[in-house]
Amino acid sequence: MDLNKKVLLQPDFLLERIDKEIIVYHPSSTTSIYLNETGALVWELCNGSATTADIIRLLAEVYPESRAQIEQDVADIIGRLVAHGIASLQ
Amino acid sequence: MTDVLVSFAGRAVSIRCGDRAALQFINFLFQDLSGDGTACPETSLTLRPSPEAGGYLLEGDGTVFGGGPLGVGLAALLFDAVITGLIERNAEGLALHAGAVASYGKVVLLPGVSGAGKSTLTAWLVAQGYSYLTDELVFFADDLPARMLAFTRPLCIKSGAAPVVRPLIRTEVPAVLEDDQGLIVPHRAVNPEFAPIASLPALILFPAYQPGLPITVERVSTAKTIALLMGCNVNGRNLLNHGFARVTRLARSAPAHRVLYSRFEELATALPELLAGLEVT
Repeated sequence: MDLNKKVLLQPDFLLERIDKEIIVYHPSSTTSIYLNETGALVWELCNGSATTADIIRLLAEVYPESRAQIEQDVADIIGRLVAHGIASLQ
Repeated sequence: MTDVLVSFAGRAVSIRCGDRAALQFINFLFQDLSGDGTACPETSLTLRPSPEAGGYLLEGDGTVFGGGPLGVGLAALLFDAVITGLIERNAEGLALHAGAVASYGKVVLLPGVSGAGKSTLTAWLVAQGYSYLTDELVFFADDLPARMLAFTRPLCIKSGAAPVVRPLIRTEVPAVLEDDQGLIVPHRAVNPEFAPIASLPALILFPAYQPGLPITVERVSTAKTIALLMGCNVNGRNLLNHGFARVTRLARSAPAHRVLYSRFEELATALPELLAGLEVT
């Protein structure tokens, strides 16, 4: 994954925020994606201008002791979103 | 030739029986389904004697589903064909792969894909005194928003789980159908009085049969429950946004837990506390 590409969310999704978690449904691919608290944070940071590297840096500033884990988690989450057609990298 | 009409959720399937034995078999399997009888069948199946098929052949609408003796294996083919005929064009509600039992009018829903262990956990709950509703399919009709319709087929246990479930079922042949493919126990053999229309679930349990692992019962968040229920959605392609809004309402309406289990003895220690909240006080 190219960490320096912007993460763009596709416009046609349905979303439910429940407690600190998110469930995203993508009608075109008929896919549901569950995002736990970490995933929900990543989702909120996908604002169309942030790259994967930006998201990792922002989260690592808040949780510096977990930087390695954050890198892995963010890459996994964005990879899932891209794989299911909910996000693209540009 | 005799035709039997099987109806559920406003849809119907017609089954043409080639001889008396086929008719008795169909009646045994579908006797407890209480459709309103007014639906016009959209699918027609035929079960006819066929030595070449090893006994009987199931076919319909240009498709040969399979054949064999009038046993558990052929019953599984029949249920699949009938459920497909009843649900595949149904857009009047949400259909989920799920077992369901009730106690004092409170429903426990057990959603799961095939092989998850929902029939086995359903059987265990029935043995604990719960009223059996279904081990396969429930329907939430748009015109009955506060109710749930259970596909009241017999309890169907595959051969792998039959040895552990059989001692729980206190009835004998011919009340049950049993062979090397598994075990089929009709409603009338475990709880003759039941209502196919039940209240909405008070508790959701996602069964996960995990041989060799110790039992784990863990709370499932509402968001995760939505994702898991969407995976059990049978007729989503007929519904707006695959029924996402309806599934979300259902997930928000009841607490959910995942039950990873391998042995009944462990269920007896882990589940009573969870189920106690359902009892009438």
